[in-house]
Amino acid sequence: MRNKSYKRVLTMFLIALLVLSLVACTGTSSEDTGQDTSQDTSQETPQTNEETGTEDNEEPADSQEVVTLRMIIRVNAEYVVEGNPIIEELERRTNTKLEIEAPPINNYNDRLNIVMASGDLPDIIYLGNTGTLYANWAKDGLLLKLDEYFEKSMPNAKKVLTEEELAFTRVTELDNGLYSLPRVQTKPWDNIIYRKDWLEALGLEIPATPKEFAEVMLAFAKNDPDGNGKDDTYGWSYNRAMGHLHRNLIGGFNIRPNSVPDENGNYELVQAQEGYMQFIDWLREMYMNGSMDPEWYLTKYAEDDEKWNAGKLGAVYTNKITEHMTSQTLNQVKKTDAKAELVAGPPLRPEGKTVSDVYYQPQIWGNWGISADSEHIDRAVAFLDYGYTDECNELLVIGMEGVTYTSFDPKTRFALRTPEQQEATSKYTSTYASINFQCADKGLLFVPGSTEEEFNIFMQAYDDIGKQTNRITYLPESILPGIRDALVKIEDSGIPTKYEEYETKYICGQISREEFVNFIQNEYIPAYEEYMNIIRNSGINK
Amino acid sequence: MNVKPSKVNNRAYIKGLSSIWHYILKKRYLYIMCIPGMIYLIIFRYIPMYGIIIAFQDFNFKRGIFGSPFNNFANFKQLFGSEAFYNVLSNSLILSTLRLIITFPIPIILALLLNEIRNQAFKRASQTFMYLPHFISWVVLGGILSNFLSMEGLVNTLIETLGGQKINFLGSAEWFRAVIIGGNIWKEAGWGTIIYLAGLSAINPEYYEVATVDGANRYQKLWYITLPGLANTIVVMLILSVGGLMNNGFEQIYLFQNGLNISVSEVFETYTYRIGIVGGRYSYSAAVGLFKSVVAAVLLFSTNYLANKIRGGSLY
Repeated sequence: MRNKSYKRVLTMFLIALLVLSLVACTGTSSEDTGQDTSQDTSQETPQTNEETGTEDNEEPADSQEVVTLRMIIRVNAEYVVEGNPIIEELERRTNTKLEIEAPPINNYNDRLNIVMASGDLPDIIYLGNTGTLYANWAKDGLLLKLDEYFEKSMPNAKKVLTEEELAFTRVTELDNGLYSLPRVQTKPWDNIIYRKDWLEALGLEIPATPKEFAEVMLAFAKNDPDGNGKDDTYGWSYNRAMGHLHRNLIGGFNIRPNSVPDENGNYELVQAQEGYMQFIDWLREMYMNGSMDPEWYLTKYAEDDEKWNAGKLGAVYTNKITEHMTSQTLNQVKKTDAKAELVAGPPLRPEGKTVSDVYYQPQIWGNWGISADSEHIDRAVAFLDYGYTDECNELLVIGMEGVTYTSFDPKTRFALRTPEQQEATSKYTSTYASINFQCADKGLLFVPGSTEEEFNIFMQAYDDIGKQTNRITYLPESILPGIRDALVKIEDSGIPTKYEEYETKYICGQISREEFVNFIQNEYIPAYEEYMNIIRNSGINK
Repeated sequence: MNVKPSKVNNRAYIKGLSSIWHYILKKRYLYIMCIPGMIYLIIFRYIPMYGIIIAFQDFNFKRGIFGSPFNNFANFKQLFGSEAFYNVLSNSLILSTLRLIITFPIPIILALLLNEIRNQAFKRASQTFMYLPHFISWVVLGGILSNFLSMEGLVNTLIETLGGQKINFLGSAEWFRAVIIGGNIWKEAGWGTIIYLAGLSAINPEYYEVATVDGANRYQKLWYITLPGLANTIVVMLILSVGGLMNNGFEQIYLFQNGLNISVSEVFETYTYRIGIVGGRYSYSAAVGLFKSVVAAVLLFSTNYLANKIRGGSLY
């Protein structure tokens, strides 16, 4: 009997424990949320109280009152938000307390989509999108319309941004309204980075044309450039995910962007241009003769960088590698092979030419929006405007004297750094953290590197490549009204997926040329007819 | 004495209720123990279901689920009119059916093999090694598998050493399903044995003793005692597996998807991710998800009905 009642008590206790643990779990989360909210409220109470008498837009931008601004930003993994002295300095200069959410860079878009759908938006949002998604957010009223603020309250942004640049963030479907400001990077310089020590070991010159490039890549793959006696190197890896029709490559085949007419004023889809098939044939040949990484198609983001860092590749071509030339943090390849030396080569150009025609759209590197429901609209506007000053750029990208550099020359845009300061630079500053990424005079914002030697290497390459590049500025079709809807129709037809499949298979020799051309001519190009008509009717870039 | 039928029914009804109540009271501890699970299901599974409304709406972020306008089934019309959808549907069905046929018996076979091991230390060590991959995420496991199966990987080196030709496992549509199903078996088959091992331990050992006395050999015991003893567990697991037939899992497929296998690797999970999360068409992807759930529900009910008809026993 006693045993039975003991069992009963034990059972009741276990059940109570189970129920309590579940309630406690849900209770804790709701309590936490409650705490957060109350903390936020308590922090902002003075501001809110003051605001009750005045409207938001009457709040002075240079108010001495510290306001809390919530931000979501896209930064690299090395960047530290907590206890960052640069962020603390930015808070001091702008009279703000910044609550920053920085999701992992590779999942940023997923996180951003969830945040936008949550209904609880931060005040300042790095959108990184000027396409359909951005237009939908603007249409749904999530983003503040900035036109008036831009004209009246954003003198710094107004001074730096051109109408061509602003065209990227205007939503054509909403009276061409400005719902975010572009982050612009000026003076792009494209180049292909080669293993200088490999070129020298094989007695080769830096290639400039597609033919020369293919020959050098074949030699890198077949002639044991690292001298280890093993067949373990490739020329390069084609990164379709990040650099499908990349400027560094397609200039060698006279390919123009969709929105750039030829000399007769005709617009042609890239895939309908003569150079496109030459380009794809060129890739296929390199794949078939073994000079290209045989598993390039597995790349989803930047796995080619990993292969480069592992000393397996002799060239990289996407523009993220610019800093490999100088930066110690990015120059991982030297860790694998201490003998590794790098050299920059020009974007590819057609045979017989001395310069490469490289088409640049205004260099928009994402965009910044303000939540339409922000309680501190004027302060958020003022904060964003400050982001367009040289002073803010230098703080966020170059850092602070004594912390991230020893000296900074505003003319050459070069910062001299000790190894400790270089480490602090990686932690506390980032090009990703910049609001804008250009100077008021549109020159280089900074020169990568930490020493005089690196400065000289970079500047020499910059000048050399610049002389071999003919930069042509153009506007892309993404700014045209109606183009987004046309794209959705194409997407629903399944053609883009099929295109990826056919192109990849053709380069890898899994389908015949006839099969591929047939698909391009009879399925792909017709699917883009409406899309191209929008471009033709607009007369863009004529 | 004439008693009106309605009164009889009423009494029977009250009697029935009372007996149910008595039954619940008698098993009250078991019912109380169900409460946390039920609370979990209600909060996390049933309440969020209201979100499927957006499949019928032109969803607006600002207005939210209850304020967005209905769009006269436009998402479904677009869905069934889209050429890409039928490719996704057939890919999903083929992959999940193959997965069911091939992977379903493996945990049963493994459980039977484990059950036959006499050395307890070896048995436990084997179980631990078989459970281990279940606890590793697909991102890590996918990386390991990619390294094994790449052109320069372990498997191809082995094939080449044995005089064979290298196989492009990761870059061909023909091998995609095999890689996915093989990876799935590696990760989950061991973990799947748990329920069958529990079922095996519930079989009365006396049956085996009697069979031994009657002169039955190991295979006869397996065929006439073990498998019939496991039959109910197998049926329940089969019904649940068929219910999940349309689920192929996102992570694994996404990790192995590339331009060379996309014709067979685009399934509901990757399609809704691309269209919904990347493309921001939430209503449309909710419509795709709802369609998938309806098909899964139909499959679940059908299997349950068939199991009931054939064996006289089913999930509910």
